[in-house]
Amino acid sequence: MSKAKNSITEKMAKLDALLAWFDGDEFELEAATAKFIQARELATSIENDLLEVKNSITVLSEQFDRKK
Amino acid sequence: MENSPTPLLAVSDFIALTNQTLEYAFTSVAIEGEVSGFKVNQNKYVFFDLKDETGSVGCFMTVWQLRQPIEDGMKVIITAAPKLTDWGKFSLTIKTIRPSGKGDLKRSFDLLKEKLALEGLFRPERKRLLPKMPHYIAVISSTQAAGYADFIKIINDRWGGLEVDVAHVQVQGKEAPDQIIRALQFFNAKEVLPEVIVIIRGGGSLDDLSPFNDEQLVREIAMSRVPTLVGVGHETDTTLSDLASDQRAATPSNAAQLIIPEKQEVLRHIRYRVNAVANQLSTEIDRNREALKGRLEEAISSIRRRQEAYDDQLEYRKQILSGLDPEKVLARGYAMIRGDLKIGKTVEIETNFKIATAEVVYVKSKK
Repeated sequence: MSKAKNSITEKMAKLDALLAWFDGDEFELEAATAKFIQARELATSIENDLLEVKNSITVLSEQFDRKK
Repeated sequence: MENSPTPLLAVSDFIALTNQTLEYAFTSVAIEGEVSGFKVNQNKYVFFDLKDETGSVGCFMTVWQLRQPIEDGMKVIITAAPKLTDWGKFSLTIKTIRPSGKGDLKRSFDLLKEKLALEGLFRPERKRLLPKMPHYIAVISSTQAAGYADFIKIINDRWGGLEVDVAHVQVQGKEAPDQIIRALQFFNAKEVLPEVIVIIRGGGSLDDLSPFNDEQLVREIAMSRVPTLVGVGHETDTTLSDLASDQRAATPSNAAQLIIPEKQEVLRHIRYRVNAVANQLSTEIDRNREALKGRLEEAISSIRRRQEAYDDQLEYRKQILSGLDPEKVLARGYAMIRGDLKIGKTVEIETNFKIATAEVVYVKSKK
């Protein structure tokens, strides 16, 4: 799988976790600003990836017209 | 007298020679006719007669080759090889068979639908949810089909960074079901499984879409380890493959919309969530600031209260102390005597305004 594709999915999961932290029991104001900056940077990075990264479409060389 | 001697053959040789001749003359023949006397023996072998107004010929095939339900009275197209059996009976050994009349296609569709529904292949509880944001997608389609081009265009417009593997297969004709089945088996056997398998083709007639009503293909879709999305034909077309899939798309374009989120929509959602957290954080900071301010004001008030209490206590003591001041006593008219009160001794007498020296001439105890 491409790095770019993984990167978007991973970043989305990371962003979800970061944003969920703000609603969770572990929320601490002392750590919140740093977490928010991290989330904002991640959102910008995802936006850039989505707007710039292309899909990788591969037509397989396998033939399906006869039994192997 | 015989000019050319006729070869003398054994019966089995004659049959073999005839079959050889038939095979040479009709490697494969396609015939359209009506089914009559349809029967299945030992749940393995299928026999029936194919007939028209004036002719009739016996046919043989295995149950495995029967990909769609057939019954008496149906008009069908067969591909077959003619053969003379060891018992001297002429028959057609069928390779493929499919209903050809519009009503017969519908009838075959209804029969198979009923059969598979009874087996539970279309039950809603069998349906799995498709991944919300897949990154590895398998596509089974013909790369020459218009529906495929629509699908690819839409996923490219909607999202980036996807890994898409495409199995190019026939999506029309008698070869199509087996090719699609092999592609399904290929993706299901991969070490890294795709998150979803999308089967697509554009619109067509009932006959064009008939491969997607193939019993073995429908069963393969229902058995797929990987969730399936089938988008075949137009919105009004429903094939049995659609019904067996985890999700049906009305068209190939709709399949792309169902499987891939729209990036602008996702980005809007991300921005909204980040802003919501920013507002939440700002509110929390304000709330904490207000709480801190409140506590500081409380502390200042407490200090002030204590200060006032100390001031009060000091004032009280000052008043007591003031009452003890000798000057104040003298001011009230009293005098203060310093020295030894013994006859003949000299003492000093201090009043408010004067100091005098006096001699002690008389001393008497008060008691």
